[in-house]
Amino acid sequence: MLLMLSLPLFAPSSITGLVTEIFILALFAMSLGLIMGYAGLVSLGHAAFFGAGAYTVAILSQHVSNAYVLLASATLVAAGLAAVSGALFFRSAGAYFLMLTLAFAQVLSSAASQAPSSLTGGSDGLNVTVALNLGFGEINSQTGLYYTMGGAFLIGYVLLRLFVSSPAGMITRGIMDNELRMRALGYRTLDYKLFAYTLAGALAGFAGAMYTYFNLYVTPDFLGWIFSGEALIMVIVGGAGTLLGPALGAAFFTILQNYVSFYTDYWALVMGVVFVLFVLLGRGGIVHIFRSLWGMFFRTGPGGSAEPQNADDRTIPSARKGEMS
Amino acid sequence: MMSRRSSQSRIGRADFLRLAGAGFAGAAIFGVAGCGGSGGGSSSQGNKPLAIGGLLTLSGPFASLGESIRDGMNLFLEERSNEFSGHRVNVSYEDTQGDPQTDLRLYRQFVSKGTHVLMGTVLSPEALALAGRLERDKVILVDSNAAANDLSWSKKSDYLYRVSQSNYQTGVAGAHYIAEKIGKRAFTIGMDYVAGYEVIKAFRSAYEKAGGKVIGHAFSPPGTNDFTSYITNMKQANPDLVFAFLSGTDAIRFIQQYDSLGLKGKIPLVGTDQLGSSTVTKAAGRSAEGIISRSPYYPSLDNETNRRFVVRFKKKYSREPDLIDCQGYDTGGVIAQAVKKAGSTDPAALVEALKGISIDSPRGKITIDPRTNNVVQNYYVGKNVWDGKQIKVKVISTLERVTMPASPPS
Amino acid sequence: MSALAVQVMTGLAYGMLLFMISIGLSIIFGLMGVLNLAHGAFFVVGAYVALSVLRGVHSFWVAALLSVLVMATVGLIMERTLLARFYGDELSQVLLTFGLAFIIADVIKMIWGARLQSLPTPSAFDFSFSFGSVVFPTYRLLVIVVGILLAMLLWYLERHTRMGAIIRAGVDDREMVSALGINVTLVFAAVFAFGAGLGALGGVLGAPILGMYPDMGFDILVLSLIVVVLGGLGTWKGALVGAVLVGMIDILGQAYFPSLARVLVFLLMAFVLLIRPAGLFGRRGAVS
Repeated sequence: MLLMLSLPLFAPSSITGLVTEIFILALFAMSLGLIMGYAGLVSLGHAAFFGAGAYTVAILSQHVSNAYVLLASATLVAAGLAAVSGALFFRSAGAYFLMLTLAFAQVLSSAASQAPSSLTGGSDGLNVTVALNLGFGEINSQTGLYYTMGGAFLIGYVLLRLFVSSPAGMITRGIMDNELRMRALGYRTLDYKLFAYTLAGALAGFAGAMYTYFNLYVTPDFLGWIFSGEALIMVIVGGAGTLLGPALGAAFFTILQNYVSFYTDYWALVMGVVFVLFVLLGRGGIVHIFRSLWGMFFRTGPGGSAEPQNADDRTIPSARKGEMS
Repeated sequence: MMSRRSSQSRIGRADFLRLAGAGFAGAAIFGVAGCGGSGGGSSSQGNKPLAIGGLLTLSGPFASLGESIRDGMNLFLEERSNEFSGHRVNVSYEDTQGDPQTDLRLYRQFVSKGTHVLMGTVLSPEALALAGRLERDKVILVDSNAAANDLSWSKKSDYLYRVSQSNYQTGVAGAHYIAEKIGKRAFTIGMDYVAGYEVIKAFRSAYEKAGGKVIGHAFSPPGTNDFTSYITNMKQANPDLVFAFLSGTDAIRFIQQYDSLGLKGKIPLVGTDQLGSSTVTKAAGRSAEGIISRSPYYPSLDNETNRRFVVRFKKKYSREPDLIDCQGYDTGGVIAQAVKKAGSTDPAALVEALKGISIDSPRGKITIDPRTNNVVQNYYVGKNVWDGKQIKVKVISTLERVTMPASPPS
Repeated sequence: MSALAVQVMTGLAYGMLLFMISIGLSIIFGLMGVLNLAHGAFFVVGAYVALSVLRGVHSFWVAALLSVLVMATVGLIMERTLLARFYGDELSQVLLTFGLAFIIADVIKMIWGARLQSLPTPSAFDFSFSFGSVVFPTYRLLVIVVGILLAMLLWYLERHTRMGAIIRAGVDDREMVSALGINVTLVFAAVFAFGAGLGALGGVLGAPILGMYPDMGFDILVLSLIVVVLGGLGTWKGALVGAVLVGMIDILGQAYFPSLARVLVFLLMAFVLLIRPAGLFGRRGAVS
């Protein structure tokens, strides 16, 4: 904890920059983790919301400079997209839902690519000159960005925690476990799923908006299914059933991407193998590994064993059961 | 922001442990990674080594361009025994895959390693994404290929110098010649991105000023494999000539399909340098016969620097050099000359030396115009002839000192 | 109008290639519930294998045949070793195949390099013929013909063979089929291998037109997913209609509405799904 707080003071600038990027991507991954681990929805289109947030800031910043307005707009746009797409797509189950989300992401990506360059920069992407100004001066330095993004990450984490421990969150979890039963109990399952999906979309959009301030460049790739898939990898590798798991997955992924690529051309291979291993072994990601290290002593919740589920189990193989808090 | 967190509902023990675990894990990972992250140019006694970062497309449809630049640069380095005026030179080439986002990532890595001179990029969007940051980070980018006009106009920077050509020059060079000698009704095809629009626009305005008329146009997405629809439209329009701006594999495919669909020999094909480049003509084979191109460089150019260049290049790579190879070679030449003039590898000194610099290139003498930080050079008109085994280019005219204005023409 | 004719034929040829790759994806998902996100690999690797074969053997058709056999075998191995254990766990299959897709893309780079490559058009068909004012490359016509023959073959297999009946029944009701004592394992393995081989055929035939590059599997996958979702899972008719539709819209879109081309395809799919959530010809319950 203390380490994270004081990092920019002693770490080389490459590390600070890296961790800053990780904060943002972790937020993105956690939002996907929310719908996967708590609402049971697997999406290959989550980047659509991230990209929407990123592009909103990129485009609007040419006319508006107030950071709060930009961030709020980005979040709202993403939330709106999530609400609409969720409402339309929840009618389809499992694999169809997956493919619809993929298509949704690609439509947005293609749209950004084909739109006139003056608006979205087209397939070349858009260079953005914008500085984050939250009311006490422009945040340009690496240190400043580090703390800001760290703060954004914390806000996101807190929000997610709030939701998960709220009655609404519990109900959503119940829906994931057994939707029919919840419906029989009288809950309007669609509403809860939609709420979770919209919240996740909003957070992803917020992350995307922050990323624009960090990267100063947006590209249609931010909207597409491959980036969504990368988020999926982050969630699974980090541990799908927990809130922080995806954050760890994001850290792992980003570090791999930045460092391995300098030593070998084949970092995707490495990442793919790691990912496949995690899937094959059915563990709850990195989080599970750390849990095992800490020992049974700290497990909470009823029957708190973190053993992986059978392969027959249709839910995400993870240490979910010990997560009620 | 911290206060918000503590006013939240109490954090349970499990949460704390998870957070701590995350922090610990993070620190462990970063600690390990940190060892890999530091390092870079260590200053030793004597002359400081010069670290150059190469941002090139080494995969994808434009891989041949990235490789050519690297080959040219490596030949130059070999000639100088990897030393510029006593400074040891280390170039590390990285594959950007033509993706500006990857460029940004690599750029951040280079900067954090202390590299202050970069070469590249192949594609314009990559250079455009980097241009705005150079001055802030005190990083010099010697542009070995990216041709967007804005790099000399709205994004002009004291830290950005182009040694290749701008889309404006690519378009206007020889437009007059074409209108006079080949035909007054043209159908244009360009690649569907910034460069395509700029080249075609520049060509069009110069061509129309010379009395020509563009009767049809098309833009094909970079990486297009199938030009059938475009070529069919060309046939229908029946122009005096087709003017094409295509690169790499796109150019190869277009030439082959232009032939197989029956247009070769019927409607003259005129194009930019790639259509006469040996990389393209070798792969396209006889289909490339008769094509006219305008280029700042052909291996058949008759000057001393070029003669030596061609001999050495052929010896090292067993193939003839083309314009892109020459651009890579000249990147080395320009940097070396700047180091010599500046007497050091310090970025600020190099910037001063680079303004208005001149070198003897295989293309003839080239000069950096301080108004645009872009190169001023001759263009040559060449025709592809088939010598029985392969395509060779015969230079049929010279266009002297082609330049670009200091700001966009209205 | 002759320009339109050329575009239509090009679109049809492209559609046939999509048909070859999508057929496997569709039947495999419809029958086995496996959504193979690495399916594009059969297409791309098939093309690359043919490239390697061609370096030694100078016959396009031998290369194509060998490639199909190799990829069918690879598909078989993949199904037996990696996927079989996850039957019933759709999520893990999806994730696994997704990871595989990334790995395969890099393996291609390792073995064959990252450059765009292509196969030369087989010399017997490397010419164009004129039909009135239309000049059309013969090879594309060949591709269309192969596609039609394939459709006819599938029609015959479905209608007149036991295997075809089993598959049709299996798509409708998987449990019943195994309850009837049919060796489901064998059927699954055979179907998977067949789908892989067909994908490879599409890849090899398509290579002279489309070229190949390491990431191509992803691009092809997206298109075939659209085809499959559009046409309906588990039906070859759906795959055919879907593929032709997507192929035509993509090519015609590029020619006449270049700025809308890819978006049109997605919008079409979304539209169809909204009114017929199981696709045009789909039968399995896909609605929750």
